[in-house]
Amino acid sequence: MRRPEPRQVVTVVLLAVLGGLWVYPFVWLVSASLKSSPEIFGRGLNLLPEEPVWENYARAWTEVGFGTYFVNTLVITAGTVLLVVVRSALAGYVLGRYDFAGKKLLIGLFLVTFFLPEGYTIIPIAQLTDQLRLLNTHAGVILGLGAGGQIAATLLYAGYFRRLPKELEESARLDGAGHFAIFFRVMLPLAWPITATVVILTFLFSWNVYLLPLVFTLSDPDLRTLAVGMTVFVGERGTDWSGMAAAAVISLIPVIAVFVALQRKFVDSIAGAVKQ
Amino acid sequence: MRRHHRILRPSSSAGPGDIGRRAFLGGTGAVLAAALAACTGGGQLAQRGASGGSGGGGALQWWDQFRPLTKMLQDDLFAPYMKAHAGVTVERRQMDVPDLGQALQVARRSNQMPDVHSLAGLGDVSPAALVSEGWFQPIGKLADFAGSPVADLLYDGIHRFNGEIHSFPPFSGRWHDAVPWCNTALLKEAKVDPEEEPGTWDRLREIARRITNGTDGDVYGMVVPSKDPDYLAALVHRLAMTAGAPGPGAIDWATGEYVHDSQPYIDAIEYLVALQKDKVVHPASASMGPRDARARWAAGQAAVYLWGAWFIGGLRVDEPEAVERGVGVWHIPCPETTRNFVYSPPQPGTFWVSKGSEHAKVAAEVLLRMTTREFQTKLAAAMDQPPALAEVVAEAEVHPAYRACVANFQEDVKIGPVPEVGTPGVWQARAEMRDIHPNLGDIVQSVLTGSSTDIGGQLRRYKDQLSAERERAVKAVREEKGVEVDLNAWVFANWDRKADYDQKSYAGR
Amino acid sequence: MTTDPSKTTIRRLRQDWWIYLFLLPTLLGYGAYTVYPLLASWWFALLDWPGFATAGTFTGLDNFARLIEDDLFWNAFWNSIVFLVIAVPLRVGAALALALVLNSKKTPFKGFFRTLFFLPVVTTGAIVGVVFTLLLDASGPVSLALVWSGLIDSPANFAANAGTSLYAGIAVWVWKWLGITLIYWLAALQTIPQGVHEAAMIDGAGAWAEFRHVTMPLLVPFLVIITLIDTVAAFNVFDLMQTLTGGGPSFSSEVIEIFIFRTAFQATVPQLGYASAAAVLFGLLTVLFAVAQALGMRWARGRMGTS
Repeated sequence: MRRPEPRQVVTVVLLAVLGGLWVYPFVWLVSASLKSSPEIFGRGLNLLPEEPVWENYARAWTEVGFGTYFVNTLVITAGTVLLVVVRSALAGYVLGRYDFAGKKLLIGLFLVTFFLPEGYTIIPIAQLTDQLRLLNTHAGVILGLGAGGQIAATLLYAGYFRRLPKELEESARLDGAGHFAIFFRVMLPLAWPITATVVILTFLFSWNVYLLPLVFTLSDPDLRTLAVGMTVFVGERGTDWSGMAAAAVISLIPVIAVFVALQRKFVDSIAGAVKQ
Repeated sequence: MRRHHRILRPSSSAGPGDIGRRAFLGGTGAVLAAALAACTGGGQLAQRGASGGSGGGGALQWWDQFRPLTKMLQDDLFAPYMKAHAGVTVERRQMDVPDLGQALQVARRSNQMPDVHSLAGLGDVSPAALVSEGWFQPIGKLADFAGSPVADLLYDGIHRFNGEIHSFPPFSGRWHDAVPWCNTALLKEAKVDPEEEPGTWDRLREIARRITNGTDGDVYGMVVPSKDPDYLAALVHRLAMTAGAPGPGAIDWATGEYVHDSQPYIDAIEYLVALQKDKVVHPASASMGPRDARARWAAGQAAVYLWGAWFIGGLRVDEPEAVERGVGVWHIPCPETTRNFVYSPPQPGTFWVSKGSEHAKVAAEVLLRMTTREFQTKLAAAMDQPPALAEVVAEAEVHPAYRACVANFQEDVKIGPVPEVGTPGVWQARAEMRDIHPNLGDIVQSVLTGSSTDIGGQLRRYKDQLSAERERAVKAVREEKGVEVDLNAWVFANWDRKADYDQKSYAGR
Repeated sequence: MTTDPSKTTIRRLRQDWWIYLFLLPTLLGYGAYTVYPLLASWWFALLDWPGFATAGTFTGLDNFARLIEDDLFWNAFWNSIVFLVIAVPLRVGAALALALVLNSKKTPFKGFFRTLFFLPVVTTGAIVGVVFTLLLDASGPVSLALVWSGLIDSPANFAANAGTSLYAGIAVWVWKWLGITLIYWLAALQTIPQGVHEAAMIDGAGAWAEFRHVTMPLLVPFLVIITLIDTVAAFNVFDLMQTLTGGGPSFSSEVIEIFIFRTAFQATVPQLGYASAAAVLFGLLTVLFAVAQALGMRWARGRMGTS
């Protein structure tokens, strides 16, 4: 019953064509990042620059201030991930394992707001952040990204904790552990696969998110994230395409490296999420 | 580059939404924050925004958006003044347009305004509206603007409010944004003499055809960026004026009616369509904004591009090799050999002094220096918008094409009437008017991208809606706020299409 | 849950204090950053609020009355729906097909291809928009390739043509996000026990028959979840569309987010109340849409279960 070889060849060829389509814009980007600006429009399909202009990268790095943006993105991403993990795990634990007054109401509320797209409520959120005196701070952005929403993470934890056996807590309680000790010493470590999933999904979200950090860091360019910094670059220097391309390549490298390195884990952990 | 020019345009001109869409890319949501800042009041933002603030004595805070003028302002304005006046420091912050607007909004609400600032990023808001809300203080008594070289350029309702001078125009109002800039190298390649001016629409069309045919495959005669409706609206306004339309603002000054559906407008749009049908316009024009188009022009893909005087200044900063290759400039062509004028409003003030400033005297003196011949010459050298004293361009260190461009403005452009100047209540009616879409720019875009062919019908609908909205707004502010304004504010019966509408003309109305 | 009267409820509350402590971060965050903003935007929708004013004036349902008459609102509404109806099935379906191929043991270079398809996911939307503006214009490679291959006669601006701009946006969106959906599907396929496949082989089922009768039914629950996730994603296309087309030309690709942004912040006099009303009305319509979808799914599931 083995499939014939030609079929496999066809599959690979089709995949290669499709993959080519997917990767072409990136090849174009890399090629553009090494061209002089006028050359970008020149002669249609030619991807090889006449002479690589490495200076584009230097310009992108110094003028755009990528070092700072990078650190900001890391801080904001790490903060958001931490906030979401702690908050969702705590809530997911009690939602998954205990009955309490108001539980149904809470779950109902979660479901109603599940479809609420980010951005439509940016005005009141920014207003709130301003009143908390957190505009133009990392904390303001982190709270904005991680404090609300993220229902999926809570539900993931709830689903996972629900299936853990009751004996776990009972034996810990016999040892004299309180609610918090049980949670942090027994339950949270057990939930690491979900934690991995939530970390990765939140990482993806906060790495890409654009509107909120933009609005929250408007008057302090030193707080911009990579996504915002790139966009500002595009807006300010609409004609410096080669610089823009170089900047884009710089901003892509770390994420791609992370993805390639963690690919296996990545798929598995999302698989974990979907299975729920 | 483009943004500040759009901001400088007075609120009475053409269409709404003076900040180009492109500008919003830089700050998508910037204005959003400005708007919300307006309703929340103060905060961290402002404290950061005005660190060192104006209240505590210290330095004079100066905010604006003119990146290309950074060095010039420092070397030729602040440094000499500080040298002459020990103890005075001027601290300038240059911000991008949306950021500036937002920072101003927040600073305003938390009492942290800079001493001097421009109005960029505040949208299409009329200075009169800000004056009436107590943003500024008059500077006429602090420094002798009335006796300065720009005295003749000061208008009631634009610079002077309640009889007091609040601001002045550092730039000239005699400009338009449809100057045909040409790539002389490409012209020569196509055997077109750059000196041979295409005085008429047909001649320009023919030259574009010759360039397209006489050069390489991917070189086109013209580029007409169509992604930004504001650019298209400005272009069509200018072309329609060369075909005899009154202006600025597409208003028949005899009756006060809008004329967006008149023959000159239809002709102007049809002319653009004809160019496109000839296949002499760069085929990717539809995806380009004005700055993209300049980059394509600089890359040698199109030979003629119609834009403002600042074209060459920006080119020198971003694509200097394109300047060396050869830049030429022509008069704006007219449909016939008899030439019509192009109309612009008086240039509004750029810099304003905050009401709460404790350095108002110093600020006014520094600003007054901008009106000197010496400074104006330096300003000309930046090859941005023409300086208020346009005659200094003749002797300034500028590219010959820029000199020619400014000289052409003197011949081609007349200053037209502005309803706000004649009737102070007009700004309130304008603030009440809601945007109408599709507007002129949207209509031109839909025609050029092939989604509509009914030019006349669409223009008529727009004109009718706009007229109705104006009537509603006038009625609303009159009845609800007791503002003295009626539709006669838009009538200037003594307008002479061959002359500037000057201060005396308003008096003789 | 119990059926007891209030006395026990109080006791339970006292006993369960720690549960509420655990919930506190979520309750606070959720209340402040999700529920409050939602309620606030409903309130704004009832105001006439020009952007430069410090506050709005209450005008009841005026904004909604104006919206219903606003052709451009409905234009944006339908554009969003068209986007949704074409883009989501395309993304979900194409990703499934690809996942089936990449899940097969016989396909080589799986990791490599997976990485390829995932690349756009981690790329900033605004960059994607700008790059594709250049790739899709009349002198760009896509147009050149199509002209060269004879599929179209003359160069075309795909993102700047009223007939194609929305579809160009859809194509770019699918390109950008296919990778993540692909990984959802790969994960889903991993849950199907190998034994099922072997059993089908023994029955002599062909690949299609196997997929139709064995794999597909097992995947239906995932289909529901993945479709839901992607549908939510399809409402967040602002940065991509704004950079790619800006909603143009002449509103042909103006989705609801751009409409809201334009009325709230790009107008001569910004109209915050009107923009909020548009958001609320669209939100309500979407919820209806989602409910209809959920009911439809349930119905489909019921039928599949019985057949």
